Amino acid sequence: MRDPYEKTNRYLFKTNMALDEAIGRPLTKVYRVIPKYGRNRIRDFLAHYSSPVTFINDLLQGETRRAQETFVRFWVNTLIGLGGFWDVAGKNGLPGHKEDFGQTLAVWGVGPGPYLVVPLLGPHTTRHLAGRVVDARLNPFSYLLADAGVGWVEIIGSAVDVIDRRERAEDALNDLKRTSLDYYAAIRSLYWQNRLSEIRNGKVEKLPVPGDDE
Amino acid sequence: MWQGRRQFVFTALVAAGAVLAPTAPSAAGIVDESKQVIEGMSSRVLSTLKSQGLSRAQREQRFAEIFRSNFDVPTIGRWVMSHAWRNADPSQRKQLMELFQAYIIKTYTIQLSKYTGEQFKVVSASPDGRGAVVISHIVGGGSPVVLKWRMRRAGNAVKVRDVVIDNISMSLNQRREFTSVYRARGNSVDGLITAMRQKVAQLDRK
Repeated sequence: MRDPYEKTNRYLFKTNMALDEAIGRPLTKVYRVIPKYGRNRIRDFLAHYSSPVTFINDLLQGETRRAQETFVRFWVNTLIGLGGFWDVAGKNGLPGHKEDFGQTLAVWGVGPGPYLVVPLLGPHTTRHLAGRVVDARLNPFSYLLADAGVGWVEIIGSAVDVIDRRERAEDALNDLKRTSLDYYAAIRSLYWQNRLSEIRNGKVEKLPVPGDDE
Repeated sequence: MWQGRRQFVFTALVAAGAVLAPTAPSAAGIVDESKQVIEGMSSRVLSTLKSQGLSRAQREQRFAEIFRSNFDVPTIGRWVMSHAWRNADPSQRKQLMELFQAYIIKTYTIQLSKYTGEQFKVVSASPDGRGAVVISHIVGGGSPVVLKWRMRRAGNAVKVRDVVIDNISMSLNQRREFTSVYRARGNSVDGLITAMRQKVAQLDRK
């Protein structure tokens, strides 16, 4: 992955970190007031809410098997999991996965494009960011909410999603920040390795082993 | 009791391995040996975490020993510091390697001390290029964290060259990070040495 806008990216990275200190950290503290059980219900529901997007992208990638899984999970969790607050399917041997349009583009052979640090949203490839724009229009729930005149509910939902992810990653990120020589480069590499794993559904190409080339 | 027996079995296996190793360095050999190394390492980490009355410094000391005896630090270091290493003169290399040792031990020790006794189990071991890969899970609510230990022979022992956590290679991350620092300092070996020295000092303070 190339990073031709590194200077700008580093500046935005710093800005994001400052915003995170000022807003993200305190909000995470507030979020942690909710007991773990409750946070898990929120997490399950948010995954449920975005599962139609995963379903569509499964299909666009030609992954019929995974699309089927997403479909079954959706109905099991809607009906037995009380509207998606309980991931009943996952507890019974049908774990969920996430797909987005950026991953679909990658499967279709579109290159990642330059690395971009997006204000508030953080690390992205250009392809990943373009995919998000499409994904925002793929979810039927969004249209239902908009039709009901409560489109703002979704904005709150995405904000909670960001806080939820942050809460889960907080300890690991604190460690990384403390131990890394260059936090920006560490995050960039971490993002890219993780993104590749997402795109390839966990089947990562052979990683090099230190010393095998000596 | 169980722990003791496992330790005994492990020691016996290592002893047997030491006797057999010179005659049979086959592919099956390194796979089994790798598995034993990881199991032995995890039981040492667990017993360190469980033993009462250790000060934080003593605990870190033990983690450092466990780390040093099981990770092929010099090979990892040369690979992670790639460009800087190739362009360094002998005295710079000495400094780089010393700092890298101190740095990587600190980093992994911090990770290890976060480990709060979730279940660690070795799932499988199989051939992997010139060595073996051991797959283990950390289970503690939710989906397990998958760790892949990539093992290669180092002298008479089998040691860890990389840990891949949920598909993310720690050595590759470090290599990219070190490369970035080296470049940001105008491809200066001394620049990298200074940055590493500062980091190690900062990690020592806390």
